[in-house]
Amino acid sequence: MNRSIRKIAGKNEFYVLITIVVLCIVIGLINNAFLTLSSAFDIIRSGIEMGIFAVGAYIVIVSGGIDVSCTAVGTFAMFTTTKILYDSKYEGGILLALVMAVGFGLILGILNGTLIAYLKIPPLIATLATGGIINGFMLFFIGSREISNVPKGIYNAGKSMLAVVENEHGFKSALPSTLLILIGVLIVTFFIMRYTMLGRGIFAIGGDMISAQRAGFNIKRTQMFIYAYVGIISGLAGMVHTIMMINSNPLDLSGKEMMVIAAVVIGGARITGGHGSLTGTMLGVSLVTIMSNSLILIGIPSFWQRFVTGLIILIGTGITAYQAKRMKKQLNVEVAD
Amino acid sequence: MNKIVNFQKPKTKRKPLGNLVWLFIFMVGIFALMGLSNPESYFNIDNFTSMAFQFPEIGIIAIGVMLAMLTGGIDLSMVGTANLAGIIAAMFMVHAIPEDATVGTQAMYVFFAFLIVAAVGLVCGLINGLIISKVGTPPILATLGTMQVFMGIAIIITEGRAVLGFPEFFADIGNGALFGVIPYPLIFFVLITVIMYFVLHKTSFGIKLYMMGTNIHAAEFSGVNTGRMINTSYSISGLLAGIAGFILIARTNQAKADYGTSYTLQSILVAVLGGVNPSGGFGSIGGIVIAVLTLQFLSTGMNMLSLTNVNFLRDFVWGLALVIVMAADYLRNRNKDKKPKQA
Repeated sequence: MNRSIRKIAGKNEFYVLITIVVLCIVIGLINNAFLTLSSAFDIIRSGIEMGIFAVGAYIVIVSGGIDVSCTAVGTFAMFTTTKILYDSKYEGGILLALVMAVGFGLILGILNGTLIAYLKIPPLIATLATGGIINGFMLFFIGSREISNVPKGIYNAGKSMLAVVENEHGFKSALPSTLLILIGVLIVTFFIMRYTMLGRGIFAIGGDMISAQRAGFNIKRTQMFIYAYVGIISGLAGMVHTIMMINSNPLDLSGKEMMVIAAVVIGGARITGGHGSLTGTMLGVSLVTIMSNSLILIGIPSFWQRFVTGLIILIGTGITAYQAKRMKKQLNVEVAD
Repeated sequence: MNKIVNFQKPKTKRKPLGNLVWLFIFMVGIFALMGLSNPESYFNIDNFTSMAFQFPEIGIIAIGVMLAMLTGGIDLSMVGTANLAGIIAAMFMVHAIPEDATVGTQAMYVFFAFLIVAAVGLVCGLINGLIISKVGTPPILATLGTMQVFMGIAIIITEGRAVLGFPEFFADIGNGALFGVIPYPLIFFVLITVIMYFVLHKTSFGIKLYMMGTNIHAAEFSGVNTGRMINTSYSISGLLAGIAGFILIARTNQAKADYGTSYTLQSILVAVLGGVNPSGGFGSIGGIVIAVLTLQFLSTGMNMLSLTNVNFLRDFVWGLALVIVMAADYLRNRNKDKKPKQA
């Protein structure tokens, strides 16, 4: 019993959870509009898109890589899909849009995978380059003007809600249906990471690539899978953005990839690879979303927002890093003894 | 015995030089291609002068990024530091210089402003270094955080507005040229490349830095204080960012918190294109110079194509150039790496 408590308390997720709880209490005390169902719905709503991106970033980070092209892939998938459907005056449902976004994401993911697995370009550089290529290609050849008159299927999907609450001022807050996409992605990813050899391989190559190779994992094929799968997830996340905004703006998402990576690391995934959990990732996303959504609620002026965001990143990632460093030191001492 | 020496010598010496030569050929190719597509306006002394005004800022920032990369890290906060340093210096100049100041006193104040950017840059860089070496935060996240913090401070103190109203003398630093041909920003850039070349190759700091980047544990065991090395190299990066900020506000004649945000990505691109290995230990000033010139030739040439939205096409081509150079590098070195295994 004692041991299991200690096991839970030693985990990074535990600290993130405590931070979230304390934060919620503090914000709630300052502004009691925060501790309501409608504000919870608002936070979930604004966290969905980042949550889906974060699942992709989590897999890449666990494998010891990094993907800074995820938002570019997402933007390409959502904008190109919307543009094609818009130009062809498509009137059908949302399913085709989702399938197309997934398809574009998969193709771009395979591009990343080829560069990283087969041409051995370091992930940071490869995805930096493909980010530029994808964004530049889309904005120059496909279009740079937002499409606000989206096809009917996307419009309907954007209006579809799981639940709606109304607060005393008559403002409506809703739980959008896109939450189901996040849940679906989470379940599939959890299953892959936990119960398949592929998932074990992702953890293994993140821990030590050479050992993983010696143990019989096919590094190239595993890396190819990772980036292709993450491409799919990013494509979905991009489409979810368009659905929820009911608007497709190719400049919306750029720059958000760093916040996604920061959220995943705050959730306890180590950027050096091999460590991390989906629970932690979701907690990290929650923390970042609550923080950035509540700055105005607790009366921080808008000029201070960027500064505070930076502090959150520094403190959040600092705690994780400091713990890892201390643990490594302890390990070294034990070995020395 | 002789055989071994003969075997090892070319292996250690030729490899980095080989990459530089390839990069140089790439640059000449781009230059010729861009020039021939529009020879009249490209091969023109005015065009060369205007190019020489544009690339020094990004070149200086790229050298800072290279320093961080030599330790195996990265510095995303360079532009944030540059703007913050620029803004503080700008506020000093706007508020401190009396209106009826002679050129002599103006020059003195501008000199103080230069000291301010240097000091702010150093402090920002040292903060990065301390977070990375003491707390142990991975550089990419530490500098991502400080980028937001530095930019945040800049927004707070300017309330999002631009700082204007510098002495005339100051604008000349960014827009004037020595004897009317050699732009002052270019002189800054050349001075910095020369100094940094000596720091990296002729001082014990530089040699230790390359050693540490190649193998941090080996360096630690041979008595290198890695924490202090990280602090020093990020401080120098910060200093360079401050100087870049000085040139930036002199050229644009105003200081703003969100200037040059695209420089972050571009400077990393320049460093990697110039042969700097982001996992540490490899890279040279010469590579940076060639890479920054390549990109300048490319973007100037593309601007002359008079297409709409040409800056998007530029991102596309830059990314493509990066992939081509990296892939060619891998394919060329693949056979070399295989040999020792078989032997």
